[in-house]
Amino acid sequence: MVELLTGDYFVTFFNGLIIALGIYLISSGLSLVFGVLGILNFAHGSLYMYGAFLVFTVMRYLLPGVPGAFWIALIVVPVVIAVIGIGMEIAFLRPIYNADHLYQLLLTYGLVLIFGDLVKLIWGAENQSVSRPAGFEGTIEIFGNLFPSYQVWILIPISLAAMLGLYLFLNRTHAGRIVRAATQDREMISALGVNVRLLYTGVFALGAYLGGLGGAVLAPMGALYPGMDFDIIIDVFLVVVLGGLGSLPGTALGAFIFGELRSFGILYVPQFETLFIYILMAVVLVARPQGLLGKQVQGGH
Amino acid sequence: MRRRFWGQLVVLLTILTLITTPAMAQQKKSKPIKIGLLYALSGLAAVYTKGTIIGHEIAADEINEKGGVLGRKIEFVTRDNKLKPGIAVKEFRRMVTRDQVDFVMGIISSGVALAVSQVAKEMKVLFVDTIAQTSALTGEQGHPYVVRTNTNSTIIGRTAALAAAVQDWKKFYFIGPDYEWGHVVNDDFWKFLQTKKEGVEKLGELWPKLGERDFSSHITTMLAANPDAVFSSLWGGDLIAFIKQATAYGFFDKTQFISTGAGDLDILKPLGKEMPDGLMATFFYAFDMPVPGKEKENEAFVAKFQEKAGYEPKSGDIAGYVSTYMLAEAIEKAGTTETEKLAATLHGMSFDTVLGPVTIRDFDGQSTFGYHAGFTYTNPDYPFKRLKDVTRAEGEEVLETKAEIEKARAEYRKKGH
Repeated sequence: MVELLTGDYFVTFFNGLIIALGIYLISSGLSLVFGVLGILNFAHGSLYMYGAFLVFTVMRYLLPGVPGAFWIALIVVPVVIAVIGIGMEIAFLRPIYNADHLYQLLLTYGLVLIFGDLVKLIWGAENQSVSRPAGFEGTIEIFGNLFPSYQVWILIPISLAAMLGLYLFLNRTHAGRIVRAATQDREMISALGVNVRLLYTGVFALGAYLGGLGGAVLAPMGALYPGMDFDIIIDVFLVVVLGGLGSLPGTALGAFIFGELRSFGILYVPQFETLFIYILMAVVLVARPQGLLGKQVQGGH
Repeated sequence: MRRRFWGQLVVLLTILTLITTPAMAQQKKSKPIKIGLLYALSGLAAVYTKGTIIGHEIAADEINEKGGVLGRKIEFVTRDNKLKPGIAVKEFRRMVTRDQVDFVMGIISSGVALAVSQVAKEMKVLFVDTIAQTSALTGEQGHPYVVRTNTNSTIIGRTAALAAAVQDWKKFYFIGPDYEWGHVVNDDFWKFLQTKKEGVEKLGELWPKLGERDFSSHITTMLAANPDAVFSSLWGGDLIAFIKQATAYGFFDKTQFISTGAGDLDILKPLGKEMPDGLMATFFYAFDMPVPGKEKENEAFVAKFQEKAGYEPKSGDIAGYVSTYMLAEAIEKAGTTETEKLAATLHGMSFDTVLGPVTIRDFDGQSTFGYHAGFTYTNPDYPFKRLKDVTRAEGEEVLETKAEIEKARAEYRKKGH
């Protein structure tokens, strides 16, 4: 009996970790962008969706049957998304940095609608599928339980690498220190002579890269369809708001809670499973509006 | 002089009247039959409805080429219901009052169809449901102005139950999208299976939201319960995601999967060889497996559809085709498009369609199409999986009996409807 419980417990816990790392990878970009630029980018879900669809395009049309096509796509596509992100930032976001938050929200929402329809125009409205790369279609046994090898060997390492990479970048590099300073006081770093424009574009590019990487990595795990941008952005918002907007450790914590609540929720109380995360978010926002690990939002905006 | 002028004018007017009246009568006689098509044309359902409308159009073109119905051409007025009952109802009313359609055909979504059916009843306009499967439409919420030229969810669940009853699966788990369709189909399967087989046990049920992306927790939960078979009413992107994720957990080696959606091309095609073999799938129509005796007609339709649409026809696509033919025949038989007569003619009428013989039952307006269950396998002729070991359940075997329908309606009325 005890073994049964630990068996179930372990599977559910590990599963929750997989979910958490997946949502963290996608959410990290949004959190970073909000922390530095102060913009809540609705269109982050679109970048995620395009990451997935571009991987599909590479594997189906550009390099069909080429061994290693998936890995090539995994490397190239997020970079392409980053470039799209730079274009997005320069063309649409720069003019509104000093505008009311409402305008920023409306603009990014408008971008979501445009990008969403563009997907239908380019790829059609049908469901599409990206196959898992060769060698990772199967299962791997951990403590006698089966888990998908793709999630274990690809998703987990890449997500952890992103987490570690962001931590090292922000805390151990000069550029990272500037970014951290920007999250605390935008006006001051401008006064100190930092090229804020370049900073913003660079951070946005990084956020877009992470969003695109999330889309690319998660693509083989589900269906690709127009509307997947909306479906993911809801969960992303949940995670970053819970953890604290602008705080990457907060995003990681929010993701962890999200993943485990889902996993255990479905096992023990499937009827109410979706309710828990929303109740938790409501409670946290009432008790601590800036989120679990968030800082107070920058004043003056 | 003046009298002559007036006299000539009278003659001229008389001649003109005599000439134009038959012409106008002629025009009135060849006034087209206007059929309203009400489907979700935008959004995610567009994938399905596009083909259905092509099915309608192919049938109308064929019929019009042969002279039309009662000498009149069929014309469609197509409107988008955006998958929302409120918008559907508004468009239905508009089609009837402003566009002056003779009747309305349509609807994919069960929820939307139910809403429109009530308006059809209120306005005394005929609504022909070509796809939406909820049994309530012709069951407890049925009325004389609604008919369905397709199967219903009851048949789907029950056909699966018949096919499952001959296997030795005893312990079942259930998963389905958390809305009307998902629940109703699972219920139908379970209730019918219990009447056909003893000792079956329900281990549990899971209701992910419609549009769920991540089934990892559901998969591990079900595997932990160790069922013999899992019955699923998942469809579309949800089903694709589920199959991909479940494969990675070794799900399909551990338990039998019974899926109401896995027989559809929009699941089989994107998945390609990612679709496992040996899944049981129920389906209405498969383009490569025509009803015996209808091979030629089916081939002709498939070829025409493929040319117009660019892909092989699915169940929903041939539904548009067959429905149009059924209505055309009924209009010919009734001699009119007038609602009361047409509705009365449809109820109880039998047809010989490309899907075989079918009757629209007189007491509920439900068609008696048969339904199929088969197992996925790899066929070298196609880049996607096909179905084999197919069994067919005739409509009469699996539809609700007249007594069941009357009972359901009585209970529904008791609840104050």
